Amino acid sequence: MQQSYKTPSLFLFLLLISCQNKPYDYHKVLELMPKPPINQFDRDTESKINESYSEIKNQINEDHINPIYLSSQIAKLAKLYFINNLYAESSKTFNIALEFQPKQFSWVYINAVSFQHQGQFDKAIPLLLTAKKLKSNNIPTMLRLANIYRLLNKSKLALNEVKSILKIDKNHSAALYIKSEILIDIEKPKEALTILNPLIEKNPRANKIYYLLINAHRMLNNIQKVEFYLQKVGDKALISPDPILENLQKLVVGAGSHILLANRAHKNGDLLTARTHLLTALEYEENNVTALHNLGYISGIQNQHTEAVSYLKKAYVLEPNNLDIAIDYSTALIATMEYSEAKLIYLNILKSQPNHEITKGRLKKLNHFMLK
Amino acid sequence: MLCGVCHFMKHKKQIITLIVIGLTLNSCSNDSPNKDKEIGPIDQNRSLELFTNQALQSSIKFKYNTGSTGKLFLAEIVGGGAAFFDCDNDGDLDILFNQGAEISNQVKRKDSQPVLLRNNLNNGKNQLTFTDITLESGITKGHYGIGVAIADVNNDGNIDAYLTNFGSNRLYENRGNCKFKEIKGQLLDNNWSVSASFLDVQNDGYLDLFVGNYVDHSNNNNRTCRNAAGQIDYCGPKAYTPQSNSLWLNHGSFIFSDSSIQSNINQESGGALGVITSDFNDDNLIDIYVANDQHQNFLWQNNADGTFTNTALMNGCAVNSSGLAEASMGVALGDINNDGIFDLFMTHLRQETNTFFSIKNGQCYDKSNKSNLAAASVPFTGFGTGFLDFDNDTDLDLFVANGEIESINEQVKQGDPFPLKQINQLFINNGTGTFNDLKEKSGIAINTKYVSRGAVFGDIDNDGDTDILVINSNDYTQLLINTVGQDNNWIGFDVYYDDYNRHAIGSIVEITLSDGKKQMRRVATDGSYASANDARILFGLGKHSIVSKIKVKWSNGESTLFRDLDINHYYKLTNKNSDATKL
Repeated sequence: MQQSYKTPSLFLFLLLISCQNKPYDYHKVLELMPKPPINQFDRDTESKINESYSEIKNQINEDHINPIYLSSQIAKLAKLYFINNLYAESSKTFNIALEFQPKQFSWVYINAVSFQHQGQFDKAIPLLLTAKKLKSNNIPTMLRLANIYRLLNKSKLALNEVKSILKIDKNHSAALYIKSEILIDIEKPKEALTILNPLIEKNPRANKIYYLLINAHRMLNNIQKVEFYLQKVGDKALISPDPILENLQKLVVGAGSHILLANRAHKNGDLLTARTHLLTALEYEENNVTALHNLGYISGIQNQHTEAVSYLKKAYVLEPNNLDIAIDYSTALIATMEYSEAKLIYLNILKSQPNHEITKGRLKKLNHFMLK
Repeated sequence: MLCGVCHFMKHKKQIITLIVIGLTLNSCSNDSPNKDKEIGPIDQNRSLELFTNQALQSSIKFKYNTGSTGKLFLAEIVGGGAAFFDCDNDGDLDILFNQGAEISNQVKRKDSQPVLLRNNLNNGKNQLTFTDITLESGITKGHYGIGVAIADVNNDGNIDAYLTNFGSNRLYENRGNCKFKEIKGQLLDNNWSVSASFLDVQNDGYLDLFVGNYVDHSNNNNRTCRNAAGQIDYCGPKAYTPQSNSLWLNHGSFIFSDSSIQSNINQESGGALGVITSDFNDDNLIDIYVANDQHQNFLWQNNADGTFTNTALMNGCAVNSSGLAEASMGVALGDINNDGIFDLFMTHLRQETNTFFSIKNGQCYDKSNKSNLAAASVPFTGFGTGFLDFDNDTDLDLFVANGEIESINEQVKQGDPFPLKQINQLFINNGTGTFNDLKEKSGIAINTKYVSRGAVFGDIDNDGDTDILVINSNDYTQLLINTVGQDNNWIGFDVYYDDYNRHAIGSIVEITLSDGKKQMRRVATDGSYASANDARILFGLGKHSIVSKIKVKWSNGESTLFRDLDINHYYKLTNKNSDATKL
């Protein structure tokens, strides 16, 4: 189903779009576009994606279609998929948007990143090369190309990208860092050291640079230097990076991004960071139901039940029909010994879903407990 | 201008033809540094199925049960392993699977039944079929099972089994003919263990035991976490405290003592998933490499006095070249460029890269990119792995068993109840220390999506090439039978210590071919993930018909030379006799 960016059929498709005097079947867009996810996200994200998809669908069903506006909406949906780590869906959607507007730099670039995350470097590279044509001096594009070429063991091509960056900014730290990485790859540790020594002076806290120094000295059998730099870094550099987290951190734009960061921190067991991000999300949107729900949930598992009740109560008031919130809220109420309140919530759930087994079971237990 | 474009529509067939030609020419001119060897000579006149899955035909119906009930216990995504070993000494490999179980209210409930299958190849039936002998074997239900390690613990000629569990581990004595008896009161390790390895720490003839322990997770501290999409999901290992590993010294007669403290092994904790042992610094003492999940890896160097020192950072194999500790799972060791030095490989998470360390002068150099093993691993989460010369062309290739740990959205949408499935990977060695991912060329069996975890390597049908057993979570096990190895010559060895009446674990065999080319293998069963491999050694010889010299370097540093052996046979090599016995 996925259209390749360079296939003849796509070429025809582009021609068809360009031929304004011929009708174009825009329903093809819906056929090509991935269907929106169902129950894959928290409600907030899910509804944003569904809304975006519906908006595109509505536009396609209108009499007069503005392809430029339509493609912008498609790209907006693609970005939503991207920030929620649905890279396959993101790429499929970006591909469609790019058929209408192939020269949109940011779409080309993000689509390339999306393919890179999927490990589809054969698709990421042509897109990055296109991005480079659209913005010839864009350093992030060249850095990304250099990194991919290096990963693919194409050192010469990687070095060319780095050289291009250094022509624009001869002191560009990231470019110098990659250059020294490549030099170590091709077993030129002495040349790497001529870059790394001044680089570490300018960036004395950059542990990654220390590791390159260690690698270069290891190749030169300078064991004392290896020991020296190992002592310098200590354990600081040994924290495993979370690639998804790193990606998300670059995309922090509002409550949604902080919720994603919180989820990632939660996944890593870092409840403190998760809490901080959720509180930041509430600063952006004080009635963000997902943030309130998640804060309540985290407070609960940290045995801060009163706090949990307060967050979950707010979330429950905002979305009384959200089953997850209702159940978490009732659990928190039980933990604070507010049994009657909890019972009311269970009864409320059973009004709308009389066969909800979990709630029935919990209510039975609660009744039994209250009788005692 | 638009009308001009439309004008060309009239000539669309010609345009398409030109574009197709242009694209073809463009793709032909692409710089492809590794087009030198794809499937090599083996793809000339045969089907593309390099391995065929013969599990069901041979009556292997084992499914590793993760016990997933929606409670999201971490153990459910860790998966399980198995062992290839000849438990009845009839000359063929039998299989022992460890088994998971449903985790409900009691996390470490005792209802996991490992499964033992007897190979019928050499018991008169002369066919690769298996009989389930679990019931009569004496291997009973236990805690949630993860991995298997095997060794002749009491040097009686029968291979014993150690089961690593989510809960206390278990040691079984093989009393002959696959009849086992649990040895209670020894090796009382109640940690959650995944991989373990038997090694002779002090060269006293008795195989000691290193147990890699994972994290401190139990019913009491079980957490649920949210994934990046905001859904409740499995927690990562960082949500729990990593456990320290254990070292048990074997005093004979199934008497062990816990040397974890005295040996310094317990001084570091990293969340161990993979373990492999070898003499990394060439001092005739076995060292231990531990692959940790999202923590720096350990290289415990044996100090000869019963103590070990973790030298991984100093030796460059603790972290990748960027100084980053990745989520290491499976681990493999092999001399991939036949330079007489073992190289190290480990599998990692999707969006990380698998890491390949070339070792020189005891130092590790990250050559993941250069070996072409990095980029190919980005879309996959790797677990079991091993170097094997599947085409017997004299260099070691690589297999990686993959399976996600976070839901794959496409599979969620399709309603898959266990949406973590990925294809496995077979890499062919180009003969230059670089590899090519064979992708679809490796055949349907390897390209079918499963949630693969353990991978076991060995010659299950005794035909002189390496087959692979892949343990898939909540799905049938695959028995990948090699269909191409027999196209080349080979020679195999079962290497024994006469003194100790057991496999010469820790020894190294080096062969020299008629053109002077050398190959080296270690006598071992460890590595991969939660699994134990065939202890025999196989060398692919390509079209070579003469092996000039076979040198066994025993684990105590002594050596024995063997010569004039016919090819395409297995031999028993022992340290007391320079005449090899044809098997």
